[in-house]
Amino acid sequence: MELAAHQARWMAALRGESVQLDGWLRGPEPQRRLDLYRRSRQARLLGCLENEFPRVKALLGPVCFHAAACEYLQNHPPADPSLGQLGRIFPDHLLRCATNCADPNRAQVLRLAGELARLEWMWSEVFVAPDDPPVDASALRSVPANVWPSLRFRLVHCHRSASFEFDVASFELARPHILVAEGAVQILLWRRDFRVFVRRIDDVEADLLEAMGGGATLESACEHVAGSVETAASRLLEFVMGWFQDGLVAQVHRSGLETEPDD
Amino acid sequence: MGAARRCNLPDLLSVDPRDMALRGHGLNLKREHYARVLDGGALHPVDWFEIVSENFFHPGGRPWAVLERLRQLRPVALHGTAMGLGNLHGVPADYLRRLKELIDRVEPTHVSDHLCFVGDAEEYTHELLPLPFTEAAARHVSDQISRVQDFLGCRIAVENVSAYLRFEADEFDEIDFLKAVAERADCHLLLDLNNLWVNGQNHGFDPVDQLARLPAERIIEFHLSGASFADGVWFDTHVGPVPNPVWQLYRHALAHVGPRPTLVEWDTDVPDYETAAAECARAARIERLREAA
Repeated sequence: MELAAHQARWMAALRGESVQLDGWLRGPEPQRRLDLYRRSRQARLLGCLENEFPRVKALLGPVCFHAAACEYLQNHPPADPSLGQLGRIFPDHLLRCATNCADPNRAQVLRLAGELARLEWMWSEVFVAPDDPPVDASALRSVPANVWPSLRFRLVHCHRSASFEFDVASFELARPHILVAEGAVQILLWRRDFRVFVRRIDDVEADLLEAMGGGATLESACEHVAGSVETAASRLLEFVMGWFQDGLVAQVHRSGLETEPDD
Repeated sequence: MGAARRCNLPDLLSVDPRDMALRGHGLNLKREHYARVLDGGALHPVDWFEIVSENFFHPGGRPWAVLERLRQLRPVALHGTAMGLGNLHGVPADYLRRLKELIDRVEPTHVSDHLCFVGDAEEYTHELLPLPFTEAAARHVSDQISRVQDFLGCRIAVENVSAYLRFEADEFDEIDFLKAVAERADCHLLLDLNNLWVNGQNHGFDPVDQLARLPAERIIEFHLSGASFADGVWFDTHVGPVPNPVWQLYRHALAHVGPRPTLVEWDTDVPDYETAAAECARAARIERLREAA
């Protein structure tokens, strides 16, 4: 048998398809031994998803989680050499299942599961994102106040913010039966040293963060958010100082110059 | 077939293996041991660590911080599980690029992967799937190893895998297949003694006889680990301490091959660091006794 046929049969067998064993395998109980590989692989991949999405598993329960994960693996076979990437589009899969589900109650649970999965995947992304030492507020204070409107910030690589359809940050792993509130919320995740932090942010802070993260000057970001610097200054300054305190700012740029952590 | 060039990794075919830079007994780095490795406590008797290459393909974060610290404490070897040297479509260029970046950053003592295939052009199975022991498979996989070695600029080591099946198409036994591949690709061998023992149990051969037929000069590392028995089959599960038959095979390996860097793998139900490290200590004692004898 040619190598191509050998490998094609292996792949089909691992997918659970019926394959011709005569002329391929030898030794005792070939079908049973082939099934050992299939089951072992399935268990390994499911275990990986369970570790990655403990909140989703707690919400759905082990049986439903298993069914959803099996369907996901069937539709989205692993395409990355690292097992750590296995769950990358599991959130999208759950949300698509919710859209296609005819039962409104089940669809609602699947939507929440999908949103929880998004949060858990972002948590993982933030956890492995490149280290990026933050600067503290002295980087800002060292700049004359009249220059502040022209400042730009670079935010640390290890942060994410996104809008969710449920207040998924309030989901408690130990009490998964308490459903979280529905309604759009903005959530910010960031890592400092080895710890990932999660908190809700309001729409104004989310918009400001997005604008500053996109390279806008402090002045244009504030105008974008509030219409004018003056009307929102005190509130926006509070947000900005909070980012320095949380460790979200990696660099402060001023007219082509920048302030590094060591400055 | 291109000849492997020398780089910062050891090119052991040109030196006596006993003069290797890397010596002693290592552990595979587990997430469960991160805190213990970082706490500044003694790492003895672990002389070096092995990491799974693909786990570090995405730079940054806690795993990288641990790795950077670890490199300051002990030598590090790279061991892959997804290169897919036997894959019909070859080792993906993107995989090689990422591995090369990792090598440049980590400067490992050596690089290894498995003699198997792991998927097709669309899918990584995340299983180490056995190849048929045929002339065509030997040619294909040795060509792939040569391509990898040319790209990386150094020799790699390939590991024998456990297998629960054999194929009608087999033209060689496992040892002749390993020898043919290693000679054609001019690569090193990583001898997993547990896999050799598991295959002996599952396919009815004496692993000591098989061991004696292996080319000692190409073997640069031993792996030791635990196995499980279920449904009439022995599995390479890396669970529990190294079983006595594998320790016995290790004694034979020391006699036939000589001392080599030896790794203890414990991946399932991972114990605390001290328990895992005690297996390294036992391997060191066995090696010392052998040398004294």
